[in-house]
Amino acid sequence: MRDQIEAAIKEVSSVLYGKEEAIKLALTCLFSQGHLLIEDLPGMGKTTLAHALAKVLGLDYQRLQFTSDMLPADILGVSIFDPAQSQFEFHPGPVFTQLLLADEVNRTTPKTQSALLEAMEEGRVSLDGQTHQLPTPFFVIATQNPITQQGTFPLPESQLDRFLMRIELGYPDAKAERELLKGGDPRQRLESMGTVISPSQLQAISRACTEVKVSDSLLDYLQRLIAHSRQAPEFSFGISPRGALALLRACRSWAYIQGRDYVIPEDLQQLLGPVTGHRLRASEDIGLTANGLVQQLLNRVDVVA
Amino acid sequence: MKPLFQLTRSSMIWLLVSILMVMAPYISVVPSWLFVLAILAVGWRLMVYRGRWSFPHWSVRVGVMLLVLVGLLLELRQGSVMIVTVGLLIAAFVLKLTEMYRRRDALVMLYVAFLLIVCSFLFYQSIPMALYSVLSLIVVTACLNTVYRSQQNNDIWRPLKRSAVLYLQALPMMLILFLIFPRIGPLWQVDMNSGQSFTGLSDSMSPGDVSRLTRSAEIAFRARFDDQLPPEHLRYWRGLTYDQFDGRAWRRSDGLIAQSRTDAKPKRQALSGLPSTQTFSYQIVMEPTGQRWRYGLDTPLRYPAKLRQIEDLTLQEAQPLMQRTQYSLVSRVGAVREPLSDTQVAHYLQLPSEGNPKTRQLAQQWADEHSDIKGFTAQMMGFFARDFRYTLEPPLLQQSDSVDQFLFQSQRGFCGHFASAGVLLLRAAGIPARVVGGYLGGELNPVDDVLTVRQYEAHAWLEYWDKGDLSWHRLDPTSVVAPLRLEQSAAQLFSDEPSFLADAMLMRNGFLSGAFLKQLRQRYDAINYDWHRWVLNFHERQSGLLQRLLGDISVVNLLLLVMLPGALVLLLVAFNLLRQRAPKDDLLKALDKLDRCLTPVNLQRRQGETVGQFFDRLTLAFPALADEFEALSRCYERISYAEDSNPALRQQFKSRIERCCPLIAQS
Repeated sequence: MRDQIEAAIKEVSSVLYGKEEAIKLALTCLFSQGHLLIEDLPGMGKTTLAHALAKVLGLDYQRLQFTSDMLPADILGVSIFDPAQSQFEFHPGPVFTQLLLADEVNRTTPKTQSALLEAMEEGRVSLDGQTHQLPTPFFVIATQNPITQQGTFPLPESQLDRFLMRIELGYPDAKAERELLKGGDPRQRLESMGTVISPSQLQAISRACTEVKVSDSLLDYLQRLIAHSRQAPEFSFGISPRGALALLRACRSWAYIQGRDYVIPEDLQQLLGPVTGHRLRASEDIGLTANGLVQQLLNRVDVVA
Repeated sequence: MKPLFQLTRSSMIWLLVSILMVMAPYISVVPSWLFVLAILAVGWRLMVYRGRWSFPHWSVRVGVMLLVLVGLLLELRQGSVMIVTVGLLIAAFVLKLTEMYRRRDALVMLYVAFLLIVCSFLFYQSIPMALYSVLSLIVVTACLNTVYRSQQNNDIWRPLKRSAVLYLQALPMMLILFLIFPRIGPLWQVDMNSGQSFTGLSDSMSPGDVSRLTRSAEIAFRARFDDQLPPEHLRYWRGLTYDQFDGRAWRRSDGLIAQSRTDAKPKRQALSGLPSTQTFSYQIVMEPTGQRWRYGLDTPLRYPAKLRQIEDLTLQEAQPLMQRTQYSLVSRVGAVREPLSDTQVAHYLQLPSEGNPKTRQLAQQWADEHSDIKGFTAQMMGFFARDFRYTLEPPLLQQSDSVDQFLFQSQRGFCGHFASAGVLLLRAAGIPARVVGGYLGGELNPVDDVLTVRQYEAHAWLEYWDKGDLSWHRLDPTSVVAPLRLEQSAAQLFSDEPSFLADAMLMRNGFLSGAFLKQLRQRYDAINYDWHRWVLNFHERQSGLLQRLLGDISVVNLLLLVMLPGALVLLLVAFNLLRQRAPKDDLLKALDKLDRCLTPVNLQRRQGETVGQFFDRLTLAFPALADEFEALSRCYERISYAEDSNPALRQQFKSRIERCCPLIAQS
């Protein structure tokens, strides 16, 4: 299965140049059965990444562009009265898919956001007293603009918490940029991409990921990190138990992708930012960004003690 | 514009509270315009804090400081140097508010606040004041705490709590230091009370003087007896004698009487020959009088070396008494045998050459009637008992022949009148005599058996010398005019007189005479007495206490006393720390060893660095050892994270490190 993972990474890299790290993180997230939040400026390839992943994983795929006038029904679906059978019939919305790309999720109102987030958390949709099960697997890859941009509704902490990871893509380096400029429109290649990992293989990988070994020394390190985040004055609040569990889950998948059957501290250090960055907040007067905060945490805590 | 140090809100609040608390005790000490200055400075600082105003220009500050200096110099002409010095400190303290640019300025201000707290003890040493100072200390420390914390915290009570906890933690250390810290005498004496007036007897007495004292309920001194108390009629506390009469007032002469006695060494007489009903052993805690004499029962037999006994058997100190003091005495009561030389006899017969002719005539008449002294005094006492009335408000006497006027016209007077008239009569009849000033009585506090003598118990009586038995005898005309004065407290006797305790309305109006309140007051007095004995004057008993505690006082013993509790505390802390630390496993020990090898080249493992990253870094530094480091890194990973429990791996890791260390040292 490792080969397939390698192949999948390579395939996605062919449309998103020089972003191997981000692709691996995205796969880690999906292998860990978590939802992914990509935060970056417009035009950085967020949608391309999501689209490519859906193609490579052979998942049923829907794209939903969030706007400020969107209503929950636009996502979840709506019951319409059918005069022929004289009863309401449920017309499922775009959320009924295996991989949902929620584009610019912070452009819509909190009401619509929360409709999506409930679906993410529960794996089902409740509407008019009826519960509709969502397909499995169900992944959400949401993109959002940096909240400093105009016309955005920042997601509250409780909803950010639903995402396993938040990653940033960033500008490509010079080499990748040159490649991108030389080659044709990557979107056309997107159409021709085929499935590399089938859904059943995806399930097998997910299972294998959960069996990756976590040693006591690593747990010690993790606990030291958590304790420091809860005690140090720079943090307004520390890593929650849910955050810690998410971190461990992601670490296992990451180690698996790296081809290891055990987790090492480097994995933890690598994933601390993506997994906990959006769950931490600095104390008001420190003025540290999430990344700075995570870096400080890593610098202050002994790996081996 | 200099960078502005921004006080946080809680700093500001605590700073204001500190200023208020620190300055409050000085309100009756320093000139009141300093407080106006303080209010102005605080107001200005508040406006700066709210961002309305900026700090005053330096020229304004210099101007204000010059004005303050001038004001204080003017104050110096009437007040004491001490008060002016403290005033200067206070002025600098409040003006510092208007130039608080940096944290350092705030700190300077708070340090001065600590100094001001200490300085307030120069003026007050009572228990409430001490408690108040502790409170101020806690508040100022809380403020210090807020200044050091840049973080804005809305909980303004937390610094106070923290500071209180600090002082609680310091309490054991404080007690130890209090017990053993050597009390070093002051390098220079501060003349605290110059210009201050005291209530009490003075070295001259005109007939109305004593009644002035009855207006005051201030404490003169307290006495505690070791075994039994003298009965009421023997509680005559002698202070000084008046031997010279100028026709109106009695004075103590500087000549003969002020000389030390020839046998003026502290007496260690054998007391065994004396009946126990006549000797009393007691301690006196005396309030400051600004005078040199001390009070004691009739004849002090034993007294501290710092006192000297003078001609009239009273005790004197070299310096005026400016602070509350304590001393132990053994006294004998009753007539004292004292052969007088001819000069002395002449001295005690001194009278103005003329004046009071009627009195002299009466004395002559009695002397003719009675050949012996007993008869004469009996006649005199009878005369007083028959026609005279005792009152605190006698009619005013004219300047000349005042004794005549008293004896034959007004016939109403206070103890001073009787004593002075009595001595005049005795001297006119050729009997040596003198007026004695002191106190009579004292209120017994049942809580701690301390006899408290207040100013309203001031008294004057006389002593005459009997050439028959060569002894001085006490004679108190008051005892026949107002016999109750000896048996009751002055408070009971005079309660009807309007001028009695006119200056102490609370006591006079009976607010403190209710049984419960009286008990409360007595308890408070007892606490005060112990406070003085055990805290303020602790240095006087410190050595004795230490001796009992340690056997003998040596540097070693003192050090042990300090260091043993300290060592105990440190041991507890160390034990706690050691218990928490889990034993290190051998991998960590090996890593530590590697770290020690790397110390000279400063490449030790950094905080937050994984073992893998560490070896990667080392590979860059020592490319020759790349393989070793690679293997070590993999080894560690296998053991720690893949949980490979193969003991050979551990062994390999350790031996590889052993091998690396010398190689690193070489390169």
